Amino acid sequence: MSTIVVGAGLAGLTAARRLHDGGDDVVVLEAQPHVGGRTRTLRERLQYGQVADLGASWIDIGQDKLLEYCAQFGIAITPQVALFPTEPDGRLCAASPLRATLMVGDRRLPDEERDTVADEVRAALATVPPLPTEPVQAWASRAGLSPLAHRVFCSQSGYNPVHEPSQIPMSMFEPPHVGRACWMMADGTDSLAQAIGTGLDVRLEQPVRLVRRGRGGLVVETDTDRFTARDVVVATPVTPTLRIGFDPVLPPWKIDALLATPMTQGGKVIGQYDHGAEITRAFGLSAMSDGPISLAWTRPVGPDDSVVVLGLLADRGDGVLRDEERCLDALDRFVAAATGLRPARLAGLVQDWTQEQYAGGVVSVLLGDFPRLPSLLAQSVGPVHFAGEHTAEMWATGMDGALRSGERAADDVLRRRRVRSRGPAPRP
Amino acid sequence: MDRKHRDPETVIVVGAGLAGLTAACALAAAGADVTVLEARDRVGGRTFSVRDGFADGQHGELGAELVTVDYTALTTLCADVGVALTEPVWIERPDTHDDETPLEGYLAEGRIVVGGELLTDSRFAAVDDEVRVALRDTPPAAHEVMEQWTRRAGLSALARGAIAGIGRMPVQYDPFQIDTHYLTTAHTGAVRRIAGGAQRLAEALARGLDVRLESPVHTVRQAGGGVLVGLEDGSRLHARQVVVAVPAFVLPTIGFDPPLPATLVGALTSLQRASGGKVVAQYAEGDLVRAALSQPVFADGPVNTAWVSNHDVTGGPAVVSGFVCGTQRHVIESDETAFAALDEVVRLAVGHDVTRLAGHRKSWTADPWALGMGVTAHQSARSSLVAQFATPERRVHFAGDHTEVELAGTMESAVRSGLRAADEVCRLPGRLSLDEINTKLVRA
Repeated sequence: MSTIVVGAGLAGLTAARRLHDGGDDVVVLEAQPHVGGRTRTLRERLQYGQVADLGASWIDIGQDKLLEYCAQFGIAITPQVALFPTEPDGRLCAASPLRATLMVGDRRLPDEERDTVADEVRAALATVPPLPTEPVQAWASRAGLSPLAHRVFCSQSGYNPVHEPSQIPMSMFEPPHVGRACWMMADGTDSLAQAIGTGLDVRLEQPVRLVRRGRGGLVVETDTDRFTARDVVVATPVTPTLRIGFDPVLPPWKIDALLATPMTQGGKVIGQYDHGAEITRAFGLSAMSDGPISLAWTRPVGPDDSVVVLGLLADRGDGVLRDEERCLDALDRFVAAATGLRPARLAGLVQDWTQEQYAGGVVSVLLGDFPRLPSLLAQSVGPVHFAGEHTAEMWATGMDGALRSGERAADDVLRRRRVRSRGPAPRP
Repeated sequence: MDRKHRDPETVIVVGAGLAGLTAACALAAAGADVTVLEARDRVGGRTFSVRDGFADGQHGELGAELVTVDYTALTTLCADVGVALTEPVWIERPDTHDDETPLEGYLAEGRIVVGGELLTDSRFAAVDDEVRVALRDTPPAAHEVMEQWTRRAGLSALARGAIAGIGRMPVQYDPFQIDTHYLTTAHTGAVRRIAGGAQRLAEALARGLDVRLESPVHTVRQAGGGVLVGLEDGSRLHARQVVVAVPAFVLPTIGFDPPLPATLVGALTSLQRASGGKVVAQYAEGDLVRAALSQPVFADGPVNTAWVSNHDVTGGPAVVSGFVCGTQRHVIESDETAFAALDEVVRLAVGHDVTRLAGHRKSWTADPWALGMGVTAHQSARSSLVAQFATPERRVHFAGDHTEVELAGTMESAVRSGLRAADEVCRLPGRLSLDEINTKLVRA
């Protein structure tokens, strides 16, 4: 075969699809028994055939590559929503998410109190302009936010991008670049990966352990098999990439770049409840809290007035994320506080991305593309090419970035072929 | 200017770990008026000795504990403040040859647990041989991480398991983060501990200093020839200079005005974090536990390294500390899993069931004033990172175990950084007024 793609997440499948469509002979090796990587969807755990998106959920306006792929592959999307209310003047700023349903502890803040907090943050953004690279928590302190405003403003980092507020630059929040107009994939996030992968030669449960140069090309070794190819596209997340052996050893600049790109740690809690219409109405666009679940939102109401609520949790090392009961209990209390109801939980599950050995975390920490490592992470090392959200020049850490990186890696392979096929210069 | 003719320099030190307290002591000795602000209810930071519930007044270490022969600044400081060190104990095989790597030095029969079994006899010999051949025939590259090397060298699953604990021991990184120089060149040899507990040094340093506990710092603002430090309770303190001696992951929680430079924040957010913590327990079978665990026992399971923490105690029960890090850190997040994991390693090392009398566990990741066990940047990237971490911002100086290139991530680098920061503070000249310039300088 001519190319092996390591990893059947969105990036790997996109690279494989582009190469396949260009006439290349491609095999995709995937460690897990399923495709989709961090866009995985479970279809058996909830009632009424409702889908549970374990990883990525949202498509945002401006993610044009992702929108283009959804159109191309006929992926149905849910009705358009805004994730956060706008300011009274119709604009969106870093304070706007605080105007969503807001819980402090197990108490829902009355709308007036909530808007006072949001107004305080908005005023601070104007009077103490943040530096783009300033950590969120550092700015909140420098700006002198009141303890309540400080706490809820910082807790946004728990969902965007599931990390600590001290590790996120203000450019992630101000100006906001997500939440204005968003959609979910109606049949589950992994429907895009399934569609892109259809017709490709994807070998499941083939974790790659070693990529080495052999006679006539590259040899890729899994636990059970050995494959050879002219080029390899490594489309695994940062941590799993550091777990693959390379012979010859990857150059220092590549390993340094990977080591300088840790992954955020956290997971998702998903519950299905009755009283779906009331929960949806009470949540409004989305609901956030300063507790373990930083943001939760609903999918469109399903059969028998059921609804799926999805919540994001950053891993604080306190054991909450490892304990399914505690997570689901936290979601129950979150829903109860937001709605004033005690809806019955029909089903529930927790996905801990920290513990997933073939993920190693939620997303790379290239937040706001700072400190400018994606282009280094993207560069090929001879016949070894790299894809993945962390290598994207734009929307790094998102599905859109994964797609962009896959296309770019496929182009890297083809460009290398073009350059090589010219052969030596003709003699005069 | 002669400092004696000025008011004493006012300095605030943020953080009463070893780095901050060393700086504060040195500054106080130089005549400065020093206040130390500490977020916790105790001094010592990530040196943390516990005694509660332990029989015979014994202690365990929930944080740093080893002192090697390279720890010259720490050893001198201990002597200065009257803190005793224990007799040394070898933690590599005592018969390790000079030309052997640390990895070979730690591979000792009866001290390696793989898959829930102690590696002995022919199984040990086979692994020992396999690892030595791999080191000789396929040596790790200087910048390669351990897991990539083990895959490239084609090590068997058994051999990878056998060195999983050894590799994680030095800086508590996962195999995919471990700098291979810890396997090939960074010998530890003999180690001492601080008699009575590592936290004793911090307590001795704090004696006589103005240390304000439970005073987390919220903001550090430079203005008008001084620095205003804001506490979380809203109060403010003024000083001419500040030494910020907090862990690397805690630094960006503080609101600096002016904000920290972009390059520094970029460096801080690109660090590999050692996540996890320690579990310590006292076992009744003291002599058996001392015999089996005075030297480290390494495992491929969640407790990667276990050893007797008070190796100078020769009678009574024994206290063992176990390290848990990285992808296994969930084990440290509950009593049940943490103690079960430690008991298992101790049981395997001793050879039969043991009786746990009491225990403690600590997740440093969950600790808001640590946010991790620490960071030890790779050799290849360390100098450019430390250049960011150690550079003062006018009147604000930085200390901590991450701000030194040599022995980064140790008690020694914490102490050295404190001494360095104190010197920086003392060197900052006082501002001369025009009057003083006119009266004191010679004119041509």
